[in-house]
Amino acid sequence: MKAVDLLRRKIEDGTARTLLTSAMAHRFLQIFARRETVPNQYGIELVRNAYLKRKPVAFTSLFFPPELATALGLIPFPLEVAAAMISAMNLAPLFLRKAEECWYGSDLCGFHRLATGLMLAGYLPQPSVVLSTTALCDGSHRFFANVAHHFKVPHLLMEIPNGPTEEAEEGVERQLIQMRGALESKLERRARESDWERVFSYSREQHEEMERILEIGAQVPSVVPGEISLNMVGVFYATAGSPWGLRIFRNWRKQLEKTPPRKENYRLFWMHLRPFYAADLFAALRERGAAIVRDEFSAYPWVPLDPRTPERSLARKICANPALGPISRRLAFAVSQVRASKAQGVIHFSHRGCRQAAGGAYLLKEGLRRAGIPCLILDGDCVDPRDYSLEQMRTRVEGFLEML
Amino acid sequence: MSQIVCGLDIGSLTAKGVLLEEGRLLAALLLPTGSNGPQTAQDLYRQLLAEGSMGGEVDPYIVATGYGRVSAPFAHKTITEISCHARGIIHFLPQTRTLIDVGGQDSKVIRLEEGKVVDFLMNDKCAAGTGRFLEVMARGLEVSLEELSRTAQDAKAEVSISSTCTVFAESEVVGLIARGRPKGEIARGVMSATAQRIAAMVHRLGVQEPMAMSGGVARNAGMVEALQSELGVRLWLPPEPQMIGAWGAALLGAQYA
Repeated sequence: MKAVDLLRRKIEDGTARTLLTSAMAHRFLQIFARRETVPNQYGIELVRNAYLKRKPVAFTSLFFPPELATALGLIPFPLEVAAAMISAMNLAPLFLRKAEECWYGSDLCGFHRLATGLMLAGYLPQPSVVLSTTALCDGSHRFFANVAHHFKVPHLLMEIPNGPTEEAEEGVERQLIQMRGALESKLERRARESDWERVFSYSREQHEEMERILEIGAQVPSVVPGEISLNMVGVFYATAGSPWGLRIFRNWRKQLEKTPPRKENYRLFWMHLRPFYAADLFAALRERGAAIVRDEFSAYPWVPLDPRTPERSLARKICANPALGPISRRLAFAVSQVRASKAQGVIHFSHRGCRQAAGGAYLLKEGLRRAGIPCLILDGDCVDPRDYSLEQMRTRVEGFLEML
Repeated sequence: MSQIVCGLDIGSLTAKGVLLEEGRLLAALLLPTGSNGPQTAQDLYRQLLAEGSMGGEVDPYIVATGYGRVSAPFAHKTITEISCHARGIIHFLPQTRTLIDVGGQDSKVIRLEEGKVVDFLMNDKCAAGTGRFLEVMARGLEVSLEELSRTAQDAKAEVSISSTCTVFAESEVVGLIARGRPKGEIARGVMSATAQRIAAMVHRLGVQEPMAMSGGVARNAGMVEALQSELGVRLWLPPEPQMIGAWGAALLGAQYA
């Protein structure tokens, strides 16, 4: 049995909560973990470190730079990524119901509802602090504020302006300096230049691996199984600056270099995140020879990180996100990525609770059309499978492929 | 030897099939899909062969389409109803630029340029704007679908149906009956509500004429009238609108055979 299957069984029978805080159980889980993929091994170790309180835990939002937490000796625990993992394990309805029983509305973001369900069911470790940004996600600051309130810990929030202007970067830098100061006081630990050097070096090397992976994906035919790349997006953001980040992506790149090309009839560029529970949808795409050769979030540009000016570097990294600012910026980035990856069309998965993604989808579709790139908008939920129908999705996706 | 092709469109409510020889219709058939899709697909195919007076020696190239296309594992190829309806309508009206297909389970708007699909939209994953919505409303009014259409066309006024959810709309209809509103006005309100939903999809892709309509709901004159009024355009209707998907499947089969 695999460690993930064991964990799933224990969550289903209600005994996982006790086991998660047991050192003995974690030792046992580690034995099983050897058979797991490297990203799953990371997940298991993250859970162990967080629940056994080996270091203080910081709950983080997806676009919060984990380098800051890591340099200060915190364990960055990305709540949206945890929600995605639970959904991929087909356990989402259990926790979504828990949140809805406690009056969390079903039109809130599925990631946040699911993480709230985990919190209310007692499945999240005790954090020392909650760190989030307003980057891209409209609802996240309220969600993270609620989490901080629940655990009675401070919530440190960064307001992210739109676009990579000098002024925006200065504003984010100021907030990062304040946040670092607050964390150093709370933790009674200072991040030295050597800490930043180490963390930034991992971050840079991880990004270099990702760039090679993107190049491999651009080959015709592509060898990159897109559905797995889409699983890796959250891991990419969550592990930046850690040895795990480098290990996971180096291993992934090496695997891809040995992977033989697959039959490829269509090349697709994926925008936004995937439905994590819908393995059957991706199997249907594979059956048709449709390869997801690149995705939006994996392809975000690299910004050099200087350990002598860590806050300024991280501010640049945050503001360089092409999805910040007017939709024209995201569109230009998408068009350049479609061209670079030799994709024939775009699938935009509009996650229901994600106002900024779903709201701009039509403008993206129109812009892509003007650039001669067909786009299919799929409406759905990334983590909540209860409104999902394979046949409905299959007809849309296959119809789109036939159109290509 | 002449080429014989078979198109099977296994929908949520009805299964349709056509048998063509060199583009000439040999047989066309419609059966209720029922609860056993694979059996229906088999029966439909056998009956088509019988009706086309085909003996055991013919082996047509078969293309299956519709939501139940996987229910016909004996088909040589499966193609979505988007491509099949597009191909079918182009056979009857080659200059079509917009096709509205409203079936039992979903509604689609398909944009065509020079006979090729360039974009499409499908309804949200609920029954609003589909044949099922009309069926449920007819049941609420205790009339047949034909009566629903006729009374709607005869009505001089309409009441507004505000719910898009089929279950809530049915309650709304029951409430309107209880308040004594004439059935015809309610029926017209039902048609209007459905037309508005479909028209919104058309507007998202842009109103491009000539515009045609296919699917079982295209046989509902009240619905066609409501849609024409909502869109301000004349809809062209093929001879057997519910058979267009099967026609398209067969015609595409001729390309692959």
